[in-house]
Amino acid sequence: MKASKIGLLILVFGFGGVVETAWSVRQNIGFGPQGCRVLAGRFYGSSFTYDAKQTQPVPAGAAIEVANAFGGVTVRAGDPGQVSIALRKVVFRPTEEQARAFADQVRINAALEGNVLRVGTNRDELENRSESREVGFETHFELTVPPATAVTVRNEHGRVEVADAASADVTSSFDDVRVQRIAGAARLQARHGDVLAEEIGGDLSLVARHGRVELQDVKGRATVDSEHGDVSAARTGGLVVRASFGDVGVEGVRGDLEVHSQHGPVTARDVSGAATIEGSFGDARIAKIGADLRVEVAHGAIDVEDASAGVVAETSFADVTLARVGGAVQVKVAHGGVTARALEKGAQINASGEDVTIDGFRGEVRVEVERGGANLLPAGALTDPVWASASHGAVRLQVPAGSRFVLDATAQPGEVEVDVPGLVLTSTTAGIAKGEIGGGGASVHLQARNGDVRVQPATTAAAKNP
Amino acid sequence: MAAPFSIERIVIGFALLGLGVLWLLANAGRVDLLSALRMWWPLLLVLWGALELVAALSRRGVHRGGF
Repeated sequence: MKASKIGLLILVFGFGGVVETAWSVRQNIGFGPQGCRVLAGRFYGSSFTYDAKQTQPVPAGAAIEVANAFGGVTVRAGDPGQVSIALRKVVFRPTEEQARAFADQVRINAALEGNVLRVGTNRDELENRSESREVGFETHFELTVPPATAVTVRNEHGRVEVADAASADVTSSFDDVRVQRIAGAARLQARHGDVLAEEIGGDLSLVARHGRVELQDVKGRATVDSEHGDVSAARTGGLVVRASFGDVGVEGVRGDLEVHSQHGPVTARDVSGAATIEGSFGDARIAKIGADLRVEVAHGAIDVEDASAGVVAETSFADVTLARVGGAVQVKVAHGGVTARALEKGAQINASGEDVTIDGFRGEVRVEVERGGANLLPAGALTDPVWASASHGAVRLQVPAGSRFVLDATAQPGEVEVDVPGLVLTSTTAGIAKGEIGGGGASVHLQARNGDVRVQPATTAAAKNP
Repeated sequence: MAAPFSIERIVIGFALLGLGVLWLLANAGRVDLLSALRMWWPLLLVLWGALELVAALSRRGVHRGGF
Protein backbone atom coordinates (compact mmCIF):
# COMPACT_ATOMS: atom_id res chain seq x y z
CA MET A 1 0.00 0.00 0.00
CA LYS A 2 1.29 3.43 -0.87
CA ALA A 3 2.39 5.77 1.87
CA SER A 4 -0.13 8.34 0.69
CA LYS A 5 -2.98 5.87 1.24
CA ILE A 6 -1.75 5.00 4.73
CA GLY A 7 -1.44 8.67 5.53
CA LEU A 8 -4.94 9.37 4.30
CA LEU A 9 -6.34 6.41 6.25
CA ILE A 10 -4.77 7.76 9.46
CA LEU A 11 -6.11 11.22 8.63
CA VAL A 12 -9.69 9.98 8.08
CA PHE A 13 -9.79 7.87 11.21
CA GLY A 14 -8.14 10.62 13.23
CA PHE A 15 -10.75 13.06 12.03
CA GLY A 16 -13.54 10.60 12.92
CA GLY A 17 -12.04 10.04 16.35
CA VAL A 18 -11.87 13.77 17.05
CA VAL A 19 -15.49 14.22 15.99
CA GLU A 20 -16.72 11.29 18.10
CA THR A 21 -14.76 12.48 21.15
CA ALA A 22 -16.07 16.02 20.79
CA TRP A 23 -19.60 14.67 20.52
CA SER A 24 -19.19 12.51 23.61
CA VAL A 25 -17.75 15.36 25.66
CA ARG A 26 -20.50 17.71 24.56
CA GLN A 27 -23.12 15.30 25.82
CA ASN A 28 -21.71 15.62 29.32
CA ILE A 29 -20.88 19.28 29.52
CA GLY A 30 -23.49 21.95 29.69
CA PHE A 31 -23.33 25.71 29.79
CA GLY A 32 -26.48 27.46 30.80
CA PRO A 33 -28.24 29.53 33.42
CA GLN A 34 -27.04 27.10 36.09
CA GLY A 35 -23.42 27.71 35.18
CA CYS A 36 -20.95 25.25 33.79
CA ARG A 37 -22.05 21.64 34.21
CA VAL A 38 -19.24 19.15 33.77
CA LEU A 39 -20.12 15.45 33.93
CA ALA A 40 -22.64 16.16 36.69
CA GLY A 41 -25.41 13.87 35.53
CA ARG A 42 -29.11 14.48 35.61
CA PHE A 43 -29.45 15.09 39.34
CA TYR A 44 -27.92 18.53 39.37
CA GLY A 45 -29.02 22.08 39.85
CA SER A 46 -32.29 23.44 41.12
CA SER A 47 -35.01 20.99 42.05
CA PHE A 48 -38.70 21.19 42.94
CA THR A 49 -40.73 18.85 45.11
CA TYR A 50 -44.31 17.67 44.55
CA ASP A 51 -46.44 15.23 46.50
CA ALA A 52 -48.98 12.67 45.38
CA LYS A 53 -51.13 10.37 47.50
CA GLN A 54 -53.21 7.33 46.80
CA THR A 55 -55.11 4.83 48.92
CA GLN A 56 -55.59 1.28 47.75
CA PRO A 57 -57.96 -1.18 49.46
CA VAL A 58 -56.42 -4.63 49.84
CA PRO A 59 -57.83 -7.96 51.01
CA ALA A 60 -56.73 -9.44 54.30
CA GLY A 61 -53.33 -11.11 54.08
CA ALA A 62 -52.32 -9.29 50.91
CA ALA A 63 -48.59 -8.90 50.32
CA ILE A 64 -46.90 -5.70 49.12
CA GLU A 65 -44.20 -5.43 46.48
CA VAL A 66 -42.55 -2.07 45.95
CA ALA A 67 -40.24 -1.39 43.01
CA ASN A 68 -38.46 1.93 42.90
CA ALA A 69 -35.26 3.67 41.87
CA PHE A 70 -33.63 6.99 42.74
CA GLY A 71 -35.55 7.58 45.92
CA GLY A 72 -36.24 6.13 49.32
CA VAL A 73 -38.86 3.60 50.30
CA THR A 74 -40.41 3.56 53.76
CA VAL A 75 -42.96 0.92 54.74
CA ARG A 76 -44.74 1.01 58.09
CA ALA A 77 -47.77 -0.65 59.63
CA GLY A 78 -51.02 1.31 59.48
CA ASP A 79 -54.72 0.60 59.33
CA PRO A 80 -56.03 -2.80 58.24
CA GLY A 81 -57.69 -3.24 54.85
CA GLN A 82 -55.86 -0.52 52.96
CA VAL A 83 -52.49 0.65 51.78
CA SER A 84 -51.74 4.36 51.85
CA ILE A 85 -49.17 5.41 49.31
CA ALA A 86 -47.45 8.77 49.50
CA LEU A 87 -45.08 9.67 46.69
CA ARG A 88 -42.73 12.63 46.93
CA LYS A 89 -41.41 13.62 43.53
CA VAL A 90 -38.25 15.69 43.28
CA VAL A 91 -37.66 17.02 39.76
CA PHE A 92 -34.41 18.63 38.66
CA ARG A 93 -35.30 21.34 36.15
CA PRO A 94 -34.17 24.95 35.79
CA THR A 95 -37.65 26.45 36.29
CA GLU A 96 -40.66 25.62 38.41
CA GLU A 97 -42.91 25.49 35.32
CA GLN A 98 -40.72 22.90 33.63
CA ALA A 99 -40.44 20.90 36.86
CA ARG A 100 -44.20 20.92 37.46
CA ALA A 101 -44.92 19.91 33.86
CA PHE A 102 -42.61 16.96 34.24
CA ALA A 103 -43.81 16.04 37.73
CA ASP A 104 -47.36 15.82 36.41
CA GLN A 105 -46.20 12.99 34.18
CA VAL A 106 -44.73 10.99 37.08
CA ARG A 107 -47.46 8.66 38.35
CA ILE A 108 -47.96 6.05 41.05
CA ASN A 109 -48.57 2.61 39.60
CA ALA A 110 -50.45 0.43 42.07
CA ALA A 111 -52.14 -2.75 40.91
CA LEU A 112 -53.51 -5.68 42.87
CA GLU A 113 -52.45 -8.91 41.17
CA GLY A 114 -53.92 -11.87 42.97
CA ASN A 115 -53.05 -11.33 46.60
CA VAL A 116 -50.11 -9.06 45.89
CA LEU A 117 -50.26 -5.28 45.61
CA ARG A 118 -47.49 -4.10 43.29
CA VAL A 119 -46.47 -0.48 43.80
CA GLY A 120 -44.10 1.53 41.63
CA THR A 121 -43.85 4.47 39.28
CA ASN A 122 -43.89 4.94 35.52
CA ARG A 123 -40.15 5.77 35.58
CA ASP A 124 -39.29 3.24 32.86
CA GLU A 125 -41.88 4.71 30.51
CA LEU A 126 -40.61 8.26 31.13
CA GLU A 127 -36.97 7.34 30.71
CA ASN A 128 -37.71 5.73 27.39
CA ARG A 129 -39.07 9.00 26.02
CA SER A 130 -36.39 11.01 24.25
CA GLU A 131 -37.62 14.36 25.62
CA SER A 132 -37.48 13.21 29.25
CA ARG A 133 -34.44 10.97 29.11
CA GLU A 134 -32.16 13.70 30.40
CA VAL A 135 -34.43 14.86 33.21
CA GLY A 136 -33.34 13.83 36.68
CA PHE A 137 -36.12 13.01 39.12
CA GLU A 138 -36.36 11.24 42.44
CA THR A 139 -39.34 9.26 43.67
CA HIS A 140 -39.62 8.72 47.42
CA PHE A 141 -42.32 6.35 48.64
CA GLU A 142 -43.89 6.26 52.09
CA LEU A 143 -46.35 3.43 52.52
CA THR A 144 -48.50 2.45 55.45
CA VAL A 145 -49.69 -1.12 55.10
CA PRO A 146 -52.01 -3.34 57.13
CA PRO A 147 -50.39 -4.89 60.20
CA ALA A 148 -48.63 -8.23 59.58
CA THR A 149 -48.09 -7.66 55.88
CA ALA A 150 -45.40 -9.47 53.91
CA VAL A 151 -43.27 -6.75 52.32
CA THR A 152 -40.97 -6.98 49.32
CA VAL A 153 -38.89 -3.99 48.22
CA ARG A 154 -36.66 -3.66 45.17
CA ASN A 155 -34.89 -0.33 45.21
CA GLU A 156 -31.82 1.37 43.82
CA HIS A 157 -30.20 4.63 44.82
CA GLY A 158 -32.40 5.22 47.82
CA ARG A 159 -32.75 4.41 51.49
CA VAL A 160 -35.11 1.58 52.44
CA GLU A 161 -36.89 1.32 55.80
CA VAL A 162 -39.31 -1.46 56.64
CA ALA A 163 -40.86 -1.81 60.09
CA ASP A 164 -43.59 -3.87 61.76
CA ALA A 165 -44.13 -6.28 58.87
CA ALA A 166 -44.85 -10.01 58.76
CA SER A 167 -41.78 -10.64 56.66
CA ALA A 168 -39.33 -8.56 54.69
CA ASP A 169 -37.56 -9.22 51.40
CA VAL A 170 -35.41 -6.22 50.50
CA THR A 171 -32.95 -5.70 47.68
CA SER A 172 -31.32 -2.31 47.63
CA SER A 173 -28.21 -0.49 46.47
CA PHE A 174 -26.37 2.77 46.91
CA ASP A 175 -28.03 3.69 50.19
CA ASP A 176 -28.81 2.28 53.62
CA VAL A 177 -31.30 -0.43 54.54
CA ARG A 178 -33.07 -0.48 57.91
CA VAL A 179 -35.40 -3.36 58.79
CA GLN A 180 -37.01 -3.46 62.23
CA ARG A 181 -39.60 -5.46 64.12
CA ILE A 182 -40.26 -8.16 61.55
CA ALA A 183 -42.43 -10.96 62.88
CA GLY A 184 -41.14 -13.65 60.53
CA ALA A 185 -38.23 -14.15 58.21
CA ALA A 186 -36.18 -11.42 56.61
CA ARG A 187 -34.12 -11.62 53.45
CA LEU A 188 -31.90 -8.65 52.70
CA GLN A 189 -29.49 -7.86 49.89
CA ALA A 190 -27.65 -4.58 49.89
CA ARG A 191 -24.82 -3.02 47.92
CA HIS A 192 -22.99 0.19 48.70
CA GLY A 193 -24.94 0.97 51.82
CA ASP A 194 -25.14 0.10 55.52
CA VAL A 195 -27.65 -2.45 56.77
CA LEU A 196 -29.43 -2.57 60.13
CA ALA A 197 -31.66 -5.55 60.95
CA GLU A 198 -33.30 -5.35 64.35
CA GLU A 199 -35.87 -7.50 66.15
CA ILE A 200 -36.35 -10.19 63.54
CA GLY A 201 -38.72 -12.93 64.67
CA GLY A 202 -37.69 -15.59 62.17
CA ASP A 203 -34.61 -16.49 60.19
CA LEU A 204 -32.45 -13.81 58.62
CA SER A 205 -30.52 -14.08 55.37
CA LEU A 206 -28.35 -11.11 54.55
CA VAL A 207 -25.98 -10.43 51.66
CA ALA A 208 -24.08 -7.16 51.82
CA ARG A 209 -21.36 -5.60 49.71
CA HIS A 210 -19.50 -2.40 50.51
CA GLY A 211 -21.34 -1.45 53.65
CA ARG A 212 -21.54 -2.02 57.36
CA VAL A 213 -23.89 -4.71 58.69
CA GLU A 214 -25.53 -4.57 62.10
CA LEU A 215 -27.85 -7.27 63.46
CA GLN A 216 -29.66 -7.15 66.77
CA ASP A 217 -32.18 -9.46 68.39
CA VAL A 218 -32.69 -12.09 65.71
CA LYS A 219 -34.71 -14.97 67.12
CA GLY A 220 -34.15 -17.39 64.27
CA ARG A 221 -31.02 -18.51 62.52
CA ALA A 222 -29.03 -15.75 60.86
CA THR A 223 -26.79 -16.04 57.82
CA VAL A 224 -24.60 -13.11 56.80
CA ASP A 225 -22.47 -12.86 53.67
CA SER A 226 -20.52 -9.62 53.72
CA GLU A 227 -17.67 -8.16 51.70
CA HIS A 228 -15.91 -4.86 52.28
CA GLY A 229 -17.69 -3.89 55.45
CA ASP A 230 -17.77 -4.55 59.18
CA VAL A 231 -20.27 -7.03 60.61
CA SER A 232 -21.73 -6.62 64.08
CA ALA A 233 -24.24 -9.08 65.51
CA ALA A 234 -25.83 -9.10 68.96
CA ARG A 235 -28.37 -11.46 70.46
CA THR A 236 -29.05 -13.80 67.57
CA GLY A 237 -29.99 -17.43 67.13
CA GLY A 238 -27.51 -19.70 65.42
CA LEU A 239 -25.27 -17.52 63.31
CA VAL A 240 -23.20 -18.07 60.18
CA VAL A 241 -21.00 -15.20 59.00
CA ARG A 242 -18.95 -15.13 55.84
CA ALA A 243 -16.99 -11.90 55.70
CA SER A 244 -14.02 -10.43 53.97
CA PHE A 245 -12.22 -7.13 54.30
CA GLY A 246 -14.00 -6.07 57.45
CA ASP A 247 -14.19 -6.60 61.21
CA VAL A 248 -16.57 -9.21 62.60
CA GLY A 249 -18.02 -8.69 66.07
CA VAL A 250 -20.48 -11.16 67.56
CA GLU A 251 -22.07 -11.14 71.02
CA GLY A 252 -24.83 -13.30 72.44
CA VAL A 253 -25.48 -16.23 70.12
CA ARG A 254 -28.14 -18.71 71.22
CA GLY A 255 -26.88 -21.70 69.29
CA ASP A 256 -23.88 -22.48 67.17
CA LEU A 257 -21.62 -19.88 65.64
CA GLU A 258 -19.73 -20.22 62.38
CA VAL A 259 -17.47 -17.45 61.11
CA HIS A 260 -15.42 -17.51 57.93
CA SER A 261 -13.47 -14.28 57.74
CA GLN A 262 -10.72 -13.01 55.51
CA HIS A 263 -8.61 -9.93 56.03
CA GLY A 264 -10.25 -8.81 59.23
CA PRO A 265 -10.31 -9.47 62.97
CA VAL A 266 -13.03 -11.57 64.60
CA THR A 267 -14.44 -10.98 68.06
CA ALA A 268 -17.00 -13.42 69.48
CA ARG A 269 -18.45 -13.38 72.97
CA ASP A 270 -21.11 -15.31 74.82
CA VAL A 271 -21.99 -18.17 72.48
CA SER A 272 -24.20 -20.86 73.97
CA GLY A 273 -23.34 -23.54 71.42
CA ALA A 274 -20.28 -24.62 69.52
CA ALA A 275 -18.17 -22.16 67.58
CA THR A 276 -16.12 -22.59 64.44
CA ILE A 277 -14.02 -19.63 63.42
CA GLU A 278 -11.77 -19.42 60.40
CA GLY A 279 -9.89 -16.26 59.66
CA SER A 280 -6.87 -14.70 58.08
CA PHE A 281 -4.85 -11.54 58.52
CA GLY A 282 -6.69 -10.55 61.66
CA ASP A 283 -6.80 -11.58 65.31
CA ALA A 284 -9.52 -13.79 66.77
CA ARG A 285 -10.73 -12.95 70.27
CA ILE A 286 -13.27 -15.35 71.70
CA ALA A 287 -14.85 -15.43 75.14
CA LYS A 288 -17.57 -17.44 76.88
CA ILE A 289 -18.18 -20.37 74.57
CA GLY A 290 -20.67 -22.99 75.77
CA ALA A 291 -19.54 -25.95 73.66
CA ASP A 292 -16.58 -26.98 71.56
CA LEU A 293 -14.54 -24.24 69.92
CA ARG A 294 -12.49 -24.63 66.79
CA VAL A 295 -10.53 -21.61 65.61
CA GLU A 296 -8.11 -21.47 62.72
CA VAL A 297 -6.37 -18.24 61.79
CA ALA A 298 -3.59 -17.46 59.37
CA HIS A 299 -1.42 -14.49 60.28
CA GLY A 300 -3.36 -13.53 63.37
CA ALA A 301 -3.36 -14.01 67.12
CA ILE A 302 -5.89 -16.17 68.95
CA ASP A 303 -7.20 -15.20 72.36
CA VAL A 304 -9.69 -17.49 74.08
CA GLU A 305 -11.27 -17.00 77.51
CA ASP A 306 -13.81 -19.03 79.41
CA ALA A 307 -14.40 -21.93 77.06
CA SER A 308 -16.60 -24.54 78.71
CA ALA A 309 -15.59 -27.40 76.43
CA GLY A 310 -12.66 -28.32 74.23
CA VAL A 311 -10.63 -25.86 72.19
CA VAL A 312 -8.82 -26.56 68.96
CA ALA A 313 -6.72 -23.58 67.88
CA GLU A 314 -4.36 -23.20 64.97
CA THR A 315 -2.54 -20.12 63.75
CA SER A 316 0.65 -18.82 62.25
CA PHE A 317 2.91 -15.84 62.72
CA ALA A 318 1.20 -14.83 65.97
CA ASP A 319 0.60 -16.07 69.51
CA VAL A 320 -2.18 -18.04 71.14
CA THR A 321 -3.51 -17.07 74.55
CA LEU A 322 -5.91 -19.31 76.44
CA ALA A 323 -7.56 -18.74 79.79
CA ARG A 324 -9.96 -20.94 81.71
CA VAL A 325 -10.70 -23.79 79.34
CA GLY A 326 -12.93 -26.59 80.64
CA GLY A 327 -12.22 -29.19 77.94
CA ALA A 328 -9.27 -30.66 76.16
CA VAL A 329 -7.00 -28.24 74.32
CA GLN A 330 -5.23 -28.74 71.03
CA VAL A 331 -3.03 -25.90 69.80
CA LYS A 332 -0.77 -25.69 66.80
CA VAL A 333 1.22 -22.53 66.15
CA ALA A 334 3.75 -21.89 63.45
CA HIS A 335 6.07 -19.00 64.27
CA GLY A 336 4.38 -18.07 67.51
CA GLY A 337 4.11 -18.95 71.19
CA VAL A 338 1.38 -20.07 73.56
CA THR A 339 0.37 -18.68 76.92
CA ALA A 340 -2.30 -20.65 78.73
CA ARG A 341 -3.90 -20.36 82.14
CA ALA A 342 -6.23 -22.75 83.95
CA LEU A 343 -6.62 -25.68 81.53
CA GLU A 344 -8.88 -28.27 83.15
CA LYS A 345 -8.52 -31.29 80.85
CA GLY A 346 -5.00 -31.24 79.59
CA ALA A 347 -3.45 -29.93 76.42
CA GLN A 348 -1.60 -30.93 73.31
CA ILE A 349 0.47 -28.00 72.08
CA ASN A 350 2.85 -27.62 69.16
CA ALA A 351 4.61 -24.30 68.74
CA SER A 352 7.67 -22.83 67.11
CA GLY A 353 9.66 -19.65 67.45
CA GLU A 354 8.33 -18.59 70.87
CA ASP A 355 7.87 -20.09 74.35
CA VAL A 356 4.96 -22.15 75.59
CA THR A 357 3.79 -21.34 79.10
CA ILE A 358 0.99 -23.19 80.85
CA ASP A 359 0.10 -21.74 84.22
CA GLY A 360 -2.30 -24.09 85.95
CA PHE A 361 -3.26 -27.29 84.18
CA ARG A 362 -4.90 -30.59 85.00
CA GLY A 363 -4.91 -33.73 82.94
CA GLU A 364 -2.41 -35.03 80.44
CA VAL A 365 -0.16 -32.47 78.79
CA ARG A 366 1.95 -32.87 75.71
CA VAL A 367 4.06 -29.92 74.56
CA GLU A 368 6.46 -29.72 71.66
CA VAL A 369 8.34 -26.49 70.98
CA GLU A 370 10.92 -25.68 68.36
CA ARG A 371 13.17 -22.69 68.89
CA GLY A 372 11.54 -21.93 72.21
CA GLY A 373 11.15 -23.10 75.78
CA ALA A 374 8.36 -24.72 77.78
CA ASN A 375 7.23 -23.58 81.23
CA LEU A 376 4.78 -25.84 82.98
CA LEU A 377 2.99 -25.28 86.29
CA PRO A 378 0.27 -27.76 87.25
CA ALA A 379 -2.87 -26.48 88.97
CA GLY A 380 -2.55 -29.09 91.71
CA ALA A 381 -0.62 -32.20 92.59
CA LEU A 382 0.83 -33.61 89.38
CA THR A 383 -0.48 -37.13 88.83
CA ASP A 384 -1.17 -37.14 85.05
CA PRO A 385 1.38 -37.80 82.31
CA VAL A 386 3.43 -34.92 80.98
CA TRP A 387 5.51 -35.01 77.83
CA ALA A 388 7.45 -31.86 77.03
CA SER A 389 10.09 -31.37 74.39
CA ALA A 390 11.93 -28.18 73.47
CA SER A 391 14.70 -27.45 71.04
CA HIS A 392 16.89 -24.39 71.47
CA GLY A 393 15.02 -23.60 74.68
CA ALA A 394 14.67 -24.73 78.26
CA VAL A 395 12.04 -26.97 79.80
CA ARG A 396 10.89 -25.93 83.25
CA LEU A 397 8.46 -27.90 85.39
CA GLN A 398 7.22 -26.70 88.77
CA VAL A 399 6.10 -29.53 91.02
CA PRO A 400 3.33 -28.86 93.59
CA ALA A 401 3.21 -30.70 96.86
CA GLY A 402 1.57 -34.13 96.80
CA SER A 403 2.63 -34.94 93.24
CA ARG A 404 3.20 -38.56 92.20
CA PHE A 405 5.08 -39.39 89.02
CA VAL A 406 8.11 -41.04 87.45
CA LEU A 407 10.61 -38.56 86.01
CA ASP A 408 12.62 -39.01 82.85
CA ALA A 409 14.55 -35.83 82.00
CA THR A 410 17.06 -35.38 79.22
CA ALA A 411 19.04 -32.33 78.11
CA GLN A 412 21.50 -32.86 75.29
CA PRO A 413 23.44 -30.70 75.05
CA GLY A 414 22.41 -29.06 78.29
CA GLU A 415 21.98 -29.55 82.01
CA VAL A 416 19.30 -31.27 84.00
CA GLU A 417 18.64 -29.63 87.36
CA VAL A 418 16.26 -31.40 89.73
CA ASP A 419 15.65 -29.86 93.14
CA VAL A 420 12.33 -31.02 94.53
CA PRO A 421 11.94 -32.23 98.10
CA GLY A 422 10.87 -35.86 98.07
CA LEU A 423 11.91 -36.52 94.49
CA VAL A 424 14.35 -39.42 94.59
CA LEU A 425 16.75 -39.67 91.69
CA THR A 426 17.45 -43.24 90.65
CA SER A 427 19.82 -42.47 87.83
CA THR A 428 21.89 -39.41 87.00
CA THR A 429 24.40 -39.06 84.22
CA ALA A 430 25.49 -36.08 82.19
CA GLY A 431 22.36 -34.49 80.80
CA ILE A 432 20.05 -37.28 82.00
CA ALA A 433 18.11 -37.65 85.24
CA LYS A 434 15.61 -40.31 86.24
CA GLY A 435 13.68 -40.58 89.48
CA GLU A 436 10.29 -40.65 91.13
CA ILE A 437 8.23 -38.80 93.70
CA GLY A 438 5.35 -39.95 95.89
CA GLY A 439 6.04 -43.56 95.08
CA GLY A 440 5.80 -43.06 91.32
CA GLY A 441 2.84 -42.99 89.00
CA ALA A 442 2.34 -41.28 85.70
CA SER A 443 5.25 -40.72 83.37
CA VAL A 444 6.77 -37.25 83.20
CA HIS A 445 9.11 -37.01 80.25
CA LEU A 446 11.03 -33.79 79.81
CA GLN A 447 13.44 -33.35 76.94
CA ALA A 448 15.54 -30.38 75.85
CA ARG A 449 17.79 -30.17 72.83
CA ASN A 450 20.27 -27.32 73.08
CA GLY A 451 18.74 -26.23 76.37
CA ASP A 452 18.40 -27.08 80.04
CA VAL A 453 15.77 -28.97 81.99
CA ARG A 454 14.77 -27.63 85.39
CA VAL A 455 12.46 -29.42 87.79
CA GLN A 456 11.65 -27.27 90.80
CA PRO A 457 9.10 -27.07 93.57
CA ALA A 458 6.10 -24.90 92.82
CA THR A 459 6.73 -21.53 94.40
CA THR A 460 3.56 -19.73 93.40
CA ALA A 461 -0.05 -20.77 93.25
CA ALA A 462 -1.05 -21.83 89.76
CA ALA A 463 -3.96 -20.21 87.96
CA LYS A 464 -7.24 -21.97 88.54
CA ASN A 465 -10.69 -21.86 87.12
CA PRO A 466 -12.93 -19.80 89.38
CA MET B 1 0.24 16.80 -19.71
CA ALA B 2 -2.71 15.76 -17.53
CA ALA B 3 -2.04 14.85 -13.87
CA PRO B 4 -2.31 11.12 -13.10
CA PHE B 5 -5.57 9.78 -11.60
CA SER B 6 -5.28 9.88 -7.75
CA ILE B 7 -7.98 8.45 -5.49
CA GLU B 8 -6.49 10.10 -2.42
CA ARG B 9 -6.82 13.54 -3.98
CA ILE B 10 -10.45 12.85 -4.87
CA VAL B 11 -11.20 11.73 -1.28
CA ILE B 12 -9.49 14.80 0.15
CA GLY B 13 -11.37 16.94 -2.33
CA PHE B 14 -14.73 15.51 -1.33
CA ALA B 15 -13.81 15.81 2.36
CA LEU B 16 -12.92 19.49 2.02
CA LEU B 17 -16.03 20.09 -0.06
CA GLY B 18 -18.28 18.37 2.49
CA LEU B 19 -16.62 20.11 5.43
CA GLY B 20 -16.97 23.49 3.75
CA VAL B 21 -20.64 22.96 2.92
CA LEU B 22 -21.48 21.77 6.44
CA TRP B 23 -19.58 24.68 7.99
CA LEU B 24 -21.40 27.09 5.75
CA LEU B 25 -24.78 25.61 6.66
CA ALA B 26 -23.81 25.70 10.34
CA ASN B 27 -22.91 29.39 10.10
CA ALA B 28 -26.24 29.98 8.42
CA GLY B 29 -27.94 28.27 11.35
CA ARG B 30 -29.29 25.42 9.25
CA VAL B 31 -27.43 22.51 10.85
CA ASP B 32 -25.54 21.67 14.01
CA LEU B 33 -21.96 21.27 12.76
CA LEU B 34 -20.84 18.65 15.31
CA SER B 35 -24.00 16.57 14.91
CA ALA B 36 -23.71 16.68 11.13
CA LEU B 37 -20.01 15.78 11.16
CA ARG B 38 -20.65 12.91 13.56
CA MET B 39 -23.46 11.69 11.32
CA TRP B 40 -21.69 11.95 7.95
CA TRP B 41 -17.96 11.46 8.49
CA PRO B 42 -18.06 7.68 7.78
CA LEU B 43 -19.25 8.62 4.27
CA LEU B 44 -15.60 9.42 3.52
CA LEU B 45 -14.73 5.77 4.03
CA VAL B 46 -17.65 4.70 1.82
CA LEU B 47 -16.59 7.12 -0.93
CA TRP B 48 -12.96 6.05 -0.73
CA GLY B 49 -13.87 2.38 -0.86
CA ALA B 50 -16.13 2.93 -3.87
CA LEU B 51 -13.37 4.80 -5.72
CA GLU B 52 -10.87 2.04 -4.97
CA LEU B 53 -13.30 -0.53 -6.38
CA VAL B 54 -13.91 1.51 -9.54
CA ALA B 55 -10.16 1.96 -10.01
CA ALA B 56 -9.50 -1.74 -9.58
CA LEU B 57 -12.22 -2.69 -12.07
CA SER B 58 -10.94 -0.10 -14.56
CA ARG B 59 -7.40 -1.50 -14.39
CA ARG B 60 -8.76 -4.99 -14.96
CA GLY B 61 -10.73 -3.74 -18.05
CA VAL B 62 -7.59 -2.07 -19.47
CA HIS B 63 -5.56 -5.26 -19.09
CA ARG B 64 -8.27 -7.37 -20.76
CA GLY B 65 -9.71 -5.10 -23.48
CA GLY B 66 -6.79 -2.87 -24.09
CA PHE B 67 -8.60 0.41 -23.69
